[in-house]
Amino acid sequence: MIFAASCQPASEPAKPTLVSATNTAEILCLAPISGAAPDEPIARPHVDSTSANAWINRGRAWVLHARLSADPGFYLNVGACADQALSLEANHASALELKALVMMNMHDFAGARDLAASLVKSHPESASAFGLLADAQLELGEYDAALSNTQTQLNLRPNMAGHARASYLRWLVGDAAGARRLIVLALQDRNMADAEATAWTFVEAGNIYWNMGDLAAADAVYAEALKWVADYPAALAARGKIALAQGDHAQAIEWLSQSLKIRPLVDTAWWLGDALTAQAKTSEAAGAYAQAEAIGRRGDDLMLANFLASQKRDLDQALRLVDDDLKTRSSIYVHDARSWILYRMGRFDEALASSDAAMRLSTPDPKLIFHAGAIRLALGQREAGMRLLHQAVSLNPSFQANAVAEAKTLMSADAAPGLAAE
Amino acid sequence: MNSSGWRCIGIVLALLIWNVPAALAHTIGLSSGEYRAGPDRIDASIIFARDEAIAGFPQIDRNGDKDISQAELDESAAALKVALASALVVQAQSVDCPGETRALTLTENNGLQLDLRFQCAQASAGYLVRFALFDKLTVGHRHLAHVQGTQAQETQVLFESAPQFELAPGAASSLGSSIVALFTLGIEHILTGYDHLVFLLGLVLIGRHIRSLIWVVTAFTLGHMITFGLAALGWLTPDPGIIEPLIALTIAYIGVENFFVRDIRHRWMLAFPFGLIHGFGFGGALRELGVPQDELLSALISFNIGVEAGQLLVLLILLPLLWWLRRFAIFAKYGTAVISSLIVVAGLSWFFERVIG
Repeated sequence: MIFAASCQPASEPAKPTLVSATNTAEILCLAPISGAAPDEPIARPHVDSTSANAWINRGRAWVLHARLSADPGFYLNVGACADQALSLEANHASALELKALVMMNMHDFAGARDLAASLVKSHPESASAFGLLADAQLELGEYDAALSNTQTQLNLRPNMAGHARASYLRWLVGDAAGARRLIVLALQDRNMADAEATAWTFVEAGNIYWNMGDLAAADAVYAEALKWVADYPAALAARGKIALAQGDHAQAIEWLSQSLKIRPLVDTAWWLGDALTAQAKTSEAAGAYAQAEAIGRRGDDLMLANFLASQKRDLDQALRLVDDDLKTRSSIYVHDARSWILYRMGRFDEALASSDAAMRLSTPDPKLIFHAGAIRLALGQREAGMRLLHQAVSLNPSFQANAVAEAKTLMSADAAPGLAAE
Repeated sequence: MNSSGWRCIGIVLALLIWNVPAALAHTIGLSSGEYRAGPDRIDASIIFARDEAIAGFPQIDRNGDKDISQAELDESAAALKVALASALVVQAQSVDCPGETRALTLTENNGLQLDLRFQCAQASAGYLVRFALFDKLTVGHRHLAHVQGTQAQETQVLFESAPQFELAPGAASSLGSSIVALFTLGIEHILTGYDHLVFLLGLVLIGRHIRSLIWVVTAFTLGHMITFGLAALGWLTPDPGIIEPLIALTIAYIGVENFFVRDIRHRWMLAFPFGLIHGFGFGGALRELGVPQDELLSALISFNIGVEAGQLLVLLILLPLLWWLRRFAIFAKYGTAVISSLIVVAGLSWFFERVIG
């Protein structure tokens, strides 16, 4: 995901922020950014309240903090600063960009797209506005428009963010070689002053190699991310996945646990459960899976739905979650989740329609391809189904333990339609 | 709670809605709490957006419509009160103070209010308060704790990795200052309650005789005082989802009636039942302040006197203004019709907004 927030842990519990009551936006914007140095006295920062730029700078500091802390709640602070700036200058472009960013993080992708679209009209020189527009369009499934706007962003300012976004888009449309070339360009543009963004770009690069099944290269790139931000949770989780794929279960458990502690995500807990299962630690694995579900229930509907589908339970609820998500975005991953839930429910015709929507870009993601293959097999399209299953497993023979096992079962057995769904 | 704190609830709930259709968005929850420390206890009133409360306690939303009705709240109240007593952990001198959920109320703007009391074994110079619900609420939830300290009101922004704050008994817990604050709040409530003001305007717009006007205003006042008391004491608390649209309809109705009625001698008969409806709205406002039970009667009286004083103030300005305007032929000819039309439009707009929104 291009827009994945990333994080750096606060080593100690932060103190609450104490401010004098004025109005809520001001309270949130001016709350001291704490956590990095918890023993420092907390003081209300000085911001020139008559300067929109001062509020925007404060908002940008909150953006960085949100990314480093992995706490999306800090986007409330970002939005509050943007509102303060907009109360001074109603059309301030940078404040509107912050607003669009907040909308993205609140999953109001259509709102973010519309705001960013109006920004690029009024400020056609703003590369970051084109980047925001492309990100929103990505989530909305408007891939052609996202490609075009990313190209404009690169034409205006060929930097790390633009190249990374372009790389991801090239991969989405099935151009793995182009994606690799662009991610290398992104890393050549890395910014020493923005370690987190660089670490994130390394993780994105690693993901390309991971999806291609080149585990050694992926691991090396993830390790590089950790040199930029030690304990970078996305990189730790990714290395955990690779360790699991390579059979080093103890190392996988260590890295995944470490990542989960810093940044509790459904898929990290899920992978940890898989790693613990592989080590026959059944009760601990059950705990990790329960944690995955609990995290999902606190706001990550799409991942929760994916998780429930993998567990073959609460499928009606999973479908409801995904259908709700589809009201806000139409990315291939939402369609893929829907297809897999429907497959689990035995509604193969509907599953195929969703799978076709998920596969419309020919994205070389083994999980998507595996789902597409299993669905076709269930529908009696044996040749197409087997071809896709083979393709998924040959792309990355260890993309997810349970899924690979299921794919191999389907391939080896002369499976009757719907066998895996039972 | 003082007036700035009360205003803050409105701002907080507005922020909760942000710019996103609530049902579709992945909003980051924001709740607000008012905290008052007494010599040996803490009283807290916390308001959540209802969808956030459902995320934490899905059992409330029995029919799965992502909203909480009064019936659903009543059905879950007993179990919820027990569960929510642990929403906060309060300690005095490192000893836990037992908590009790005193009230659960649906509030305006899709809020759910929780009133808690933590009674400590002995008086303390300070308390540690921890908001203990973060692990049940959506990731990133923020809680704005408005704290009446010894000097001024402060706001603490609490979140998952910074969930607690210290609190010392403050001046605000004194009864005298509460009475003044609630009286002022009563005035402020009527002066900023545009729907009530518009209704009042509609009620007196066509009145020309002072005696009739006194009857009408007295009947309205009597009506809303009765239900205000019933609602504030918690004896009769109809769902705001019903009362608020009804208030809007009374406004539209009075505007329509102004086209057909020239003599308001009998309007008191309408003003009284309409006053009953408006009184539930006032009562809801007082409940939202989370006044402790043992201070409720004095609070009710203070707030009500404030409301009546505010209403009187409005009438003292409005009535002479209307009499003066009637001296102009154009106003005499068109004024009532134009203003009544606007009142109808306002009433209907509020009605649809409150029903749909």
